[in-house]
Formats: sequence, structure tokens, C-alpha cells
Amino acid sequence: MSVLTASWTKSKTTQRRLRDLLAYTLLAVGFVWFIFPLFWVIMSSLKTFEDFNQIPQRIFPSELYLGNYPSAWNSVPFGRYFINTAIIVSLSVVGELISASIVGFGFSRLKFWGRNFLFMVLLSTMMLPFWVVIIPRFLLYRDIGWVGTWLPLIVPSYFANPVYVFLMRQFFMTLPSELDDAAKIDGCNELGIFWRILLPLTKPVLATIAIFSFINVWTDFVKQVIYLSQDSTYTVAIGLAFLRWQIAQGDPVPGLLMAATVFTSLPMIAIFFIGQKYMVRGIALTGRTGT
Amino acid sequence: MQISRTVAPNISWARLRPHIVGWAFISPWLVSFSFLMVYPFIASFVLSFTRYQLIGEAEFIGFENIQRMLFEDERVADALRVTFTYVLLTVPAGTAISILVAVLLNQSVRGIPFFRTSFYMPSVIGGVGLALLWTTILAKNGPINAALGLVGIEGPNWLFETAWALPSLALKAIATAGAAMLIILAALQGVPQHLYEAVDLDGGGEWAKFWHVTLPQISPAIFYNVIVTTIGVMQSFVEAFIMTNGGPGTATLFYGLYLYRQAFEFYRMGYASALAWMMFLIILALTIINFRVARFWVYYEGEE
Repeated sequence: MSVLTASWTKSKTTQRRLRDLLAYTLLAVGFVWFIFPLFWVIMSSLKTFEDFNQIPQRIFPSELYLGNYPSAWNSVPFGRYFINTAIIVSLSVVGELISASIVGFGFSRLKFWGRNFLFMVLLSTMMLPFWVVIIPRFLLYRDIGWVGTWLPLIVPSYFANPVYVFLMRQFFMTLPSELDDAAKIDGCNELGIFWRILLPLTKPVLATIAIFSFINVWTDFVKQVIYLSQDSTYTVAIGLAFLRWQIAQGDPVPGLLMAATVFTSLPMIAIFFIGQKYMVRGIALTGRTGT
Repeated sequence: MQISRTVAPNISWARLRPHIVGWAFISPWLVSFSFLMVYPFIASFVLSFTRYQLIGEAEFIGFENIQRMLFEDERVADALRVTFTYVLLTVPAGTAISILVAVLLNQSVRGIPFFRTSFYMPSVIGGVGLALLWTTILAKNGPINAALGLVGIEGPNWLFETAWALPSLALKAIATAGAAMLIILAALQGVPQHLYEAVDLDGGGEWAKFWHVTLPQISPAIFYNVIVTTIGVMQSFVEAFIMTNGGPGTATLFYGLYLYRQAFEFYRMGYASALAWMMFLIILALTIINFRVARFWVYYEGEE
């Protein structure tokens, strides 16, 4: 009996080991598949022009050439574009946080006529294609003189993005209603309950929304290219697209383009590492990454 | 008598108050819903029946735009064909790979957080940066062709050959679908353990567990992903705009790119609105079809 058990346990551990081996093999394949492109771009950004024209290219540069970075930085005014983008992004993030938490609070902690119906409407607008509303929005902004400024990129953030409202609401729903009741007995009104009691508890969701909106606004090329028209207002994404088109017009300096790709992606990578935990939770909860 | 007169209005105010406060709290959304959703949605429908080049007044032209869009403008047919092909290339394969990777990341081996981070990280770069990254990967003398060269195949110039440009963009889309992977991973972690134990008792193996427990349990998450990615992919723009500019020829002329050109390069606001409304109707139809088909494969707890 004991012999039997021993051999059974042994075969179980061998099976287990085989499984782990298979899992690690596949994970390694996945790692190369997902990370290699990033690695390639970093290596490419360090290559000289001659390195680039080898067929096929080697993975590693023949010498570590850092010259692509300063020339990329100076080929279009990236310094100004970074400042512009930072202003747009930070003002948008603030707007998303304020408006989503206020509206999310309303939809979860207050009872009022039409609440459930309106919430269904809010959810269904998440499915409305961007392209079907963009033209009248553009005309509206033009009529009030906003086209060419940052306002169409920033102001809507202060009027509640449905995805972030949903995220806030889901979180508010998990907080016990005794909190509100106790605060009410102490003489708190709704604003007090929202601001003093519940909002301090929502920091993790606020972090998730901040990260999502940071990434979404930073990479939102379509709106930027539609609304901005002067060099002084351009963003990092537009600067990157400019570089790309210069090269398409027969000015072949790919190392420079790769260097620009690397330094314009750094804020995203940094944010990702800082807020990974919150991002993963937010995606699991809403099933999307915003907008 | 005196008392009830003073109390009555107070009661009705007390009744009304929570509703007013509630509407006040959601008012930021009501503003954007009215001015940035409802109004543009209706306005683009109305604009579809006009000619409007940004200057002067919009001129009512009846069904001219719609007739041109459906029967005369061959580019629209090209754009639709390209976009549908792109959806078919990316959504099923992307979903399958997301499931596969999520199952892999759900294994109980050491170092999973590290792998999860590195699998998801590339997709946060997003937008123009990610498009440029993949432009280098797909270059004639890039790493994909170098790898093919090792097994004696001479790879094409992916983005600049009619046959390969669209599949190349699809490959990029599939390789960067990090969010889908995480959604399915979250669903996997929610599958109740006792269901797996039940399969163990019945003597079922790993495959039986995956087929009879895992897949049905995560099917709502898969379904959600299919819906959201279909809607997203139908509206694709940046990849074609940055990587191929719609070419070669019309090989990667996404519907979104064509619409953008009509609206913001040629300023044909009426015609572009008609195109936008057709896109809306197509996406609506696809979503309805998806929901219909879902009855046959999506499992919801509490049914049967």
C-alpha cells in the first residue's frame, strides 16, 4: 500500500514538473513575442545609418551610437510639444477625476427619478462610435471659436466620461450604506457625505481613472490632429507623426525615428510601472481601458 | 389647521429634495450627454442630407449623398471590404490568442506577475508610438524577415505590398491586444474551484476541465471582448494613417481613414456625415448579430 502511494505521488510530481516545464516554455515564447518589438526599437535607436542599411539588420548595433536622441529631439520642437501635452493631459485628468466621482456618486448613493433608466442610457452611449459624433462636435467647437485651441481636448473631461462614471459607480456600490446613514445622523448633507466620508475611500479607483485618462489623452492622436492646427499648440503624438512623414518623403533617418519613439513612450512606460496594480484592477472591472 | 398648512409644503419639499439633489449630482454627465452625444448624433443624421463645405450655409440635397455613397463612390466599397476583412482577420484570431495567453498566465507557476507585466506593457504605448514601432518590425530588412531568412524564406516588404499590407496591420493589432488578455485573465480567476474538483471526481482530465468548465464559465467575458473589439476595430484609423497611409493603392483604406479624409481633408461635411451614419448602422447590425449568435455559445449562470 505504502509503495503504491509512493509511486503514485512520484508520478504526480513528474507530471507536475512536465506541466511546469511546458508552461515556462510557452511563457518564454510569449515573453519574446511581446517584449522583442520593444527591445528591437531600443536597439534600433542606438544604430548608425550604416547599421540600419544592413540586410538583414543585426539585433545589436555595431557601436552604441547615442546621436539619434539629440537629433530626434531637435528635428521637431519636442520640448514644446512635451510641455503642451503635459498641460493638456494634467488638466484633462483633473477634470475626469472630479466629474466622474461626482456623477458616479449620484448614480450609486442617491435615489432619484429616472436613475436606473439614465444609467442604462449612459452605458449604451459607451457603444456609440466616435466617428458618428465627431463632425457635429467639430462644427460646434468651430462655431464657438474653440477649433485650433486645446479647449475641445480638455473641457469635455469636466463633463463625465461614461467609462469612468461606471468605474466609480461600481466602486461606490461596494461601500456599506451604513456610512451614509451614520453621516446623515451627524447632520451631513449629500455633499458632505460625498466629499468627507466617501471620496477619501475611493483613492484606488481615482488612481485607476487617473492612469487610464493619462494614457488615453496622451495617445489620443485622432482628436489632436482634428482640432489642432498651429505648431505652437501641437502635441507629442503629432510631432511623432510629423517625423514619420518627413521620412516617408525620402529623408531616410530611421534611427532618429526610433529614438523619438523611445522617448515619447517613456511617460507611458513609467505610468504603467507606477500604477500597474490599479490598471489591472480597472480593466478587470470595466473590461476596457477608457474612452 | 394652522399646523397642517405650514407642514404640507415642507413635506413636498422633503419629497422633492432627493430627486433634485440626485439630478444635480449627475448634471455634468447630462450636459455632455445632451451636447456631445444626443445633439451630434441627430445633427450628423441631418447633415447627411446636405452639402456643406464649411463655408456658407448647408444646402439640402435630399438623398444625393446616400446615393453616391451606396452606388457611385467605388472607394466606399473598397473601404468597406478592407474594414470587414480587417475585422475578420483580427477579432477571431485576437480572441483565440487572448484566451490562450490568459490561460497560460493563470497557471500556478512562479514569476507570473513578471510575465503578466511584460505581456501587457507594449500595449500601453498605444497610438502613434506603437504604430511606428511596428513599422520597423515589419520593415523589409526588419527582424521578422531576418527570422524568416533563417529558415530560407525571403520575406516581403510587408507594409508596401498589396497582398501583405492588411494582414501586417492585423498582426500588429493581434500582438498588442493586452487589454483583452487581462479581461479574460480576470474572468479565469473568477471561476469557482469546486467546479474543477467536480471534474476530478468524475475522472476527467485537464482537457475536460478546460472544455466543460473553463470555457463556459469565461464565455461571457469572451463575448464582451468580441463585442468591444469588433466595435473598436471597425473604427480603426491610426494604424492606416501612420503606417501605410491607406496604401498601397486602397489595400489598407480603413473606413475610418476614408471618412477622416472626406471630412477633414476635403471638408465634405455632409458626405462624411452620411458615411458616419452608415458606419453607425453597420456597427449596430454587427452588435445585434453578435448578440443573436451569443445565445448558442455564451453560458450564463442560472440558465437551463
